[in-house]
Amino acid sequence: MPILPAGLADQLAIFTTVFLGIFVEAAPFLMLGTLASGLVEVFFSQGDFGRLLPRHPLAAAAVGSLMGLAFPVCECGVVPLARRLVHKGLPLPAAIAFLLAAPVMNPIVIASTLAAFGPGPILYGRVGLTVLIAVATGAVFALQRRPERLLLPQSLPAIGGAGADAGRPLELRRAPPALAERVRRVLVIGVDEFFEMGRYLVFGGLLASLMQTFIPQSALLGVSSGPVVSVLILIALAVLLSICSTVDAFIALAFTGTFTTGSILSFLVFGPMVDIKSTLMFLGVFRRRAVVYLILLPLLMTILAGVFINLNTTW
Amino acid sequence: MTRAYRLTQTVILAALGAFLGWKLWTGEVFFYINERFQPLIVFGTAAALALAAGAAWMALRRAPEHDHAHAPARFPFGSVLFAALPLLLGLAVPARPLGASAIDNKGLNTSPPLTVSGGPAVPLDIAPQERTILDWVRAFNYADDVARFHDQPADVVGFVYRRPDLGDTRFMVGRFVVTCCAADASGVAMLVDWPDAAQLAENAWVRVRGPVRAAELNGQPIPLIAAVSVEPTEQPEHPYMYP
Repeated sequence: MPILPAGLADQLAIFTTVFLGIFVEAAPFLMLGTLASGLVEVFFSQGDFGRLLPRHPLAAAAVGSLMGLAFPVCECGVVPLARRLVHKGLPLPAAIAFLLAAPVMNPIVIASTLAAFGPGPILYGRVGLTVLIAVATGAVFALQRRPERLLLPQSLPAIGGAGADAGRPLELRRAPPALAERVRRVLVIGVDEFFEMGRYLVFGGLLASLMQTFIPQSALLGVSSGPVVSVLILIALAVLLSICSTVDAFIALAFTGTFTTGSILSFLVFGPMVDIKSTLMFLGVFRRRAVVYLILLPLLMTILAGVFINLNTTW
Repeated sequence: MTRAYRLTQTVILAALGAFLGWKLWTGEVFFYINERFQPLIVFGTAAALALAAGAAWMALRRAPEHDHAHAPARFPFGSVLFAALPLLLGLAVPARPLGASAIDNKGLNTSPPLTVSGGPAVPLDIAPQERTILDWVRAFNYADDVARFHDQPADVVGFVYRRPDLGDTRFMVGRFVVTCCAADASGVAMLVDWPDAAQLAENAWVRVRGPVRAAELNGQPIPLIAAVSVEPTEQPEHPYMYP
């Protein structure tokens, strides 16, 4: 016997299927990220990253933007991993550039973009713009010399910063522990960060699937022309859909023909940096004001680049 | 307190692993994702169980956790609730793939991309009877002249989608195309001429056979089947098509 009216039951079924689609797909990626974070914590020592990276903030940001090639994570896994790297002494400009660029600058995503669009302006534009925007945003964050103004207390580096206790020393550091102990620590960090970040993933997934259930996509896609409007529309769609960066190229492929090249590039550049679930995760790492910058700077640069490409190129 | 929290984590993670494993076992995982992500869900199942083991390890340790840094001071109901929510939703709402009712939200895609990641060859190379709804829609979208498809035999499986403007003798047979997960689904459909269209239940799965004609929907060319037979059929194991 139906408890709900048929229309509402249909909506609930669509909502649940879309939500579980996002969750089932993103949860393994998040676990991969939190386990990677645990591995970094246990197998790298404090300051390893600080020593390896160039001192100049711009150079550090440039290296950070390419680190995704070594740590292939997408936007769900990158947040806990970036926070862990900061905790381990990675300079903030590098960490910000890593956070923004890694979901695109990793072998899987580059391969999927290549598969969808072939070697051409979309692929090169996506990689180039992502690095450019990530490095520029990282460099802006370097202007703030006091990380405690940007980061929530639990994200601060364990040494330096505002007093020895401000950083949460996640582990007691003693003589190198036995392998079993290391494995246990990796798992515990994986568990705790999964619960911490998982709620943002779930909440973001709920929002995205609610909007998908109640706002018809045609309402957005009806306005596909215009060098400026098309860019804004596809950016909005990237945020609303919250699709994983490993596959968004295939989604964007459906827009070629109806949408401008600049808008498709904007979709592919901004979507992996900022969407509903990653914004919520940012709020678990950064202070609110920093999150605003973290969204606005890439947003403005993406819009500028997208509109510029539409007006000045014939791609 | 810490122990209670660790035990709760253990239960939720173990349940998550079981949930993913069960979805894989029943095949219902394909109501949510594209089949090429199946290995990811296998990994997710294993990772959730490994994390559950980690949480249990902490819960069962004789010595209490000395470094209080790990577990929060108060029992974090919010985190636990959110982590449990997907499981509760998955158990409470019967699993169902996107169907006819979702077309209204997701819209119909009359120009799906021709090929993705070196997928199957151009649909024109496929024998007409072998073409899926997606192949037909693509073929119509990319052919220079759709008249060449006239009278080619179609044999497709999809769900019944009806629209008031189609009248009583016409319906659409549709499928959803999923690239990654259900969040990116978009519908593809063919028109079907069938005298008893009014008798078909919305969203019922049918196998439609008959010669193809060229038709138009909102100014876009769309294939139409002048149906010779419309038989009810089982929902396919993979309800979505993969581009």
